Amino acid sequence: MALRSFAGGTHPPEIKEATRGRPIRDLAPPDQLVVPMAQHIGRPATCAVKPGDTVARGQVIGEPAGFVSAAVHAPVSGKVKRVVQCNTPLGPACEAVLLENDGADIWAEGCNEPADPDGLSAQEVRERVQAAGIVGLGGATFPTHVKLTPPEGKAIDTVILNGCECEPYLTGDHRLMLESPHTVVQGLKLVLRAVGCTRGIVAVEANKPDAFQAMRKACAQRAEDGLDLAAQLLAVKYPQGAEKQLILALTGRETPSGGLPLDVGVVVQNVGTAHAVYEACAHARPLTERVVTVAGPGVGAPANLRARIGTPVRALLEACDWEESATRELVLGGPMMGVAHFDPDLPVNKGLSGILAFTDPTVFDHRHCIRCGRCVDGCPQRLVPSELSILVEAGRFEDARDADLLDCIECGVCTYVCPSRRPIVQWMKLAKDELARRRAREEAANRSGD
Amino acid sequence: MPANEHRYLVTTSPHIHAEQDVGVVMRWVCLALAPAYVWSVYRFGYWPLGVAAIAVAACVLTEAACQRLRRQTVTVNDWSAVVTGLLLAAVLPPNVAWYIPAVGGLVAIGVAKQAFGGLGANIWNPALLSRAFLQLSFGAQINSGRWPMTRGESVAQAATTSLRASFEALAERADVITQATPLEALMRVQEAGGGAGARAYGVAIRDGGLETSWQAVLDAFLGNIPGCIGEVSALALLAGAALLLARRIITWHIPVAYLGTLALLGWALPAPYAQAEGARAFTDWFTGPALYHLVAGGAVIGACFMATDMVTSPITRRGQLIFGVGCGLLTALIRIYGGYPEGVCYSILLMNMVVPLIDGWTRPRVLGKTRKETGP
Amino acid sequence: MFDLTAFVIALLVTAGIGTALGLVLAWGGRRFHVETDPRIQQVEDALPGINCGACGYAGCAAYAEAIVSEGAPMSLCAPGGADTAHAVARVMGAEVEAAEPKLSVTCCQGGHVDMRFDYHGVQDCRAAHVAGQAGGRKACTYGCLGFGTCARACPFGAITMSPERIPVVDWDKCTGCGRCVEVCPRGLNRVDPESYYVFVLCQSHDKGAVVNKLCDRGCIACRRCEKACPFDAIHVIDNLAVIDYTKCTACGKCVEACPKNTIVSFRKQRRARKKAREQAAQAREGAA
Repeated sequence: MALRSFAGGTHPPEIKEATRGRPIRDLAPPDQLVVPMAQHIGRPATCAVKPGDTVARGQVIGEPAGFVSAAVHAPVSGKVKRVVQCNTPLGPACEAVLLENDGADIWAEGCNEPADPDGLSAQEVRERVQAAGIVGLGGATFPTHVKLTPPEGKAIDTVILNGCECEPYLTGDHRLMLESPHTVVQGLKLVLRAVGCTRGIVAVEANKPDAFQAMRKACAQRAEDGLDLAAQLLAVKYPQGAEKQLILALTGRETPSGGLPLDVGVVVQNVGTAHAVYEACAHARPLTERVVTVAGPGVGAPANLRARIGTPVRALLEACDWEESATRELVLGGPMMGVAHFDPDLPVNKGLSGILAFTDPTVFDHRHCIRCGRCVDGCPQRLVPSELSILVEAGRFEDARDADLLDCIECGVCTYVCPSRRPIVQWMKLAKDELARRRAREEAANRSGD
Repeated sequence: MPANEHRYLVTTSPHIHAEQDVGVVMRWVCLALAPAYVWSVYRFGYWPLGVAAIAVAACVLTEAACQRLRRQTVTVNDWSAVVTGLLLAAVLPPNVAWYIPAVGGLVAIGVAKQAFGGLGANIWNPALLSRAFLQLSFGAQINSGRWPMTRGESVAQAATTSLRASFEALAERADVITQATPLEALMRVQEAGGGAGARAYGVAIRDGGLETSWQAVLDAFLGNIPGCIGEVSALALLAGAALLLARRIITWHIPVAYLGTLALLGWALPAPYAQAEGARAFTDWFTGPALYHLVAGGAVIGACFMATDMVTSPITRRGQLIFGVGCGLLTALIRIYGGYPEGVCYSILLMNMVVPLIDGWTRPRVLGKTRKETGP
Repeated sequence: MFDLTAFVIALLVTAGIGTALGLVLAWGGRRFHVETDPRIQQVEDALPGINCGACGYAGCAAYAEAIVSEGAPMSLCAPGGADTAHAVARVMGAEVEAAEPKLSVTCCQGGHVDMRFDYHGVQDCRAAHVAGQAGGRKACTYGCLGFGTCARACPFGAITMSPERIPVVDWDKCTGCGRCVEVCPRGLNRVDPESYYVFVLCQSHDKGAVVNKLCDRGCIACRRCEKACPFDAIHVIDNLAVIDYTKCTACGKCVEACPKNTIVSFRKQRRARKKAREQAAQAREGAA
């Protein structure tokens, strides 16, 4: 079986040995949790509780604000203490519910009850997923029920489960595939039913042969007439798990620029999301916890922890022997695309796949581009990052847009390989931000002018 | 907001970086030139090291001075000026006086590099531009036509006692056996149908074809020929190039395209030559000395070390192939039909000028866009 | 030996080629000539030639064309000011009312705000705004980031950064071109006519209690200004005081009322500028 891949990419050191061999540990929820209303792409949820309310685990505490939004559920049973503002990884502060944990962990009525997933229709699957507040757990946090509702005229013929986990350090998906491959495959089948297609592929990078074997066996054991389920091994490369590159490697199709996977008949879901879909449909369990990889030089005992949404990041770090005074940089997510943050009391949200503590991050002063071409070789979107970085550095934002700036997926390969240590990704983000601001100004001017 | 005594560092992603920075890349290039320099000491004594030292010092000091004058951070610690100095010395004859590499270094960095904006901003390869400048300005000293071959015993002894003795030995025409370089011999054969120098390499026109001896090819490959300090031993240079390929400092595209085209054209093209009564004739097609072209002169150092200079070569792999082919074509044309025995220097400089055009032609098609939608 | 024949032949050939090509060019120049109104070039010469775009056109040449061909208003050039407007009017043979000068103000005073983290990256306000999760390193997420992008963008060198890293505008150099407004990622700069005197120097929409903790000069939305204003010209909207300049008379009551010194009046300085300008214009006309 040839190992398929895409052109470009790079090979950062994996650093997964510390955590991939040990099972996921459940982290007991702390006495206080802060549950943010904005944990997903789309409008933040509206707070549905007030101080003094008693809540049970799985109870809705945030109502979705529209279709492209998601519900937020109480991760523990207890009492609502206050509605506060909390920091978020990607944006300004948002509203959050401060919960006092009563320690009893009582599920709300109707939740945590066995149900028959096979008897559900496509529409019912979508409704269950929406009610459970499931969003893309790979980190993108796009509301899953929206992805499972392809618009009229878009036929889906393939569902891909992303088990690549191409970022260094992270092994949460790897352990999930090893420890509960059947729930993942059953989740895949539910997703297939929801979008109305019969072909499902679980993509696994070749550095996880045990997970691949587990998924292959589970696909064979859960085989069904009329369904084409398979596990596929892919070459180890960053960013193999990026949506467009995954689709290219598995199906040979190119997602059109500015388009979505459903434009080429594909739906991509993270394996964790598939697992959550199964939990919602078979056990009526809304999304209240997730697996987080805690690792890095600043952590003495790295591990994969299953933590409740709303647990402060500090609690996870301390459960892994955190060397707080030695930590200089805290990264949420993976080291290539993750976000460095300043607040260790930030709560775990639905999209948090990893927490990395770095003790000695090197900072660089960048130089002029030396045109070595490594970024051009590595860019998975086949851009010329060198040219883009020079244009943005010179403030030529329109020219950068003409040079295909908006196709950049900010994967970080160019900045990783650059010998001149140019902060290319930062320039890309700056330019996109500036272009959006200009467009907004133009639209405002057009509106007021006409 | 809790008052956080301990402030964390926030940078934009990615938060890890590959190990090779500019300094690492440059130091590998210096190491790759070491075999060629070791060979040059064996053949010519210690003076070539003196030339290299002067060139490097001139380059480094000029860079520091230029950056100070422009009130920029001095970046000589990235070793790029050192590499320029070593490459410049490598293409100078072994019997040059001290002021040649000094002026050469000044021009290479001051004019060809800093005047354009420093590392990454120059159009022409600094070492080659300086070489061209030296050739035109100090023609008599560089194009002496007297290339030392240290076969004499007394010279060999003197050559390895000290820098000064080595220089004097090389400069003293009486003691040193001199002869033409292999490419000069080729040109003389074309011009005059033969000559003493030509016979030393077995170069001759025979049955309408240009012939060379296998001994000459072997000598040129090993480096037992006269020539510039770093260019004589194709073997030593290829060893260095192999190191750079293994470390992924360079890729195969330019060297293979350049040398391949040169060999192909050197073999295929008919060479003009003068017959006995002054009548002009051409050798037959497809009878040229391909291997001779590859190992004689500066083809290997040009293809592996000069043309592969990142700043002045295309940024796309396809573009690099076009660049290599263009260099090979121009080198072959200058050598066979042009007025100079060697064409490497000018062909690379000419192709350097076309690099932005090549980059535009070979822009990759963006994933998810058609070729028309890609780019400005 | 000097070969006369060859020399003459060479001379004739090159001269002949040159003459032939010159004739071709002359013919081409006449054949493809485009009629343009000569006034366009004259107007363009009267404009400063900075190509800043403050007039709203794509450079001085485009504005000149618009004035002559489309009848665009003649006093749009902010850097050129009254002198340019009059020069253009002379070319067009018309009268013009010089537009009032416009000046830039930065709506943030810095106020000893804590830093939330150490930032390392591109030293540009737009980059810093994007890093740190669009919150920026200052605890006030609306305030000036202090990297000097506006100072660098100003074509007239009118903006310098104070020791507290807040932009300071030199009104003698400011032409109201609006570049600083464009580049600030927080929208802190504004360009207004010289006759606007009172400004709220804060853009924070954080709740008053939060601002009170973060910054000693920020607007805490206490509404004292709103209550003090006799002309209903200032209101607190979304935790920030906003002045309605159609009603503001610059009486200064809100400035007195504000407990945090967030509202500032530039009445004295701006009236002095206007007076100086009028005196200079009178002196010129008197001398002429």
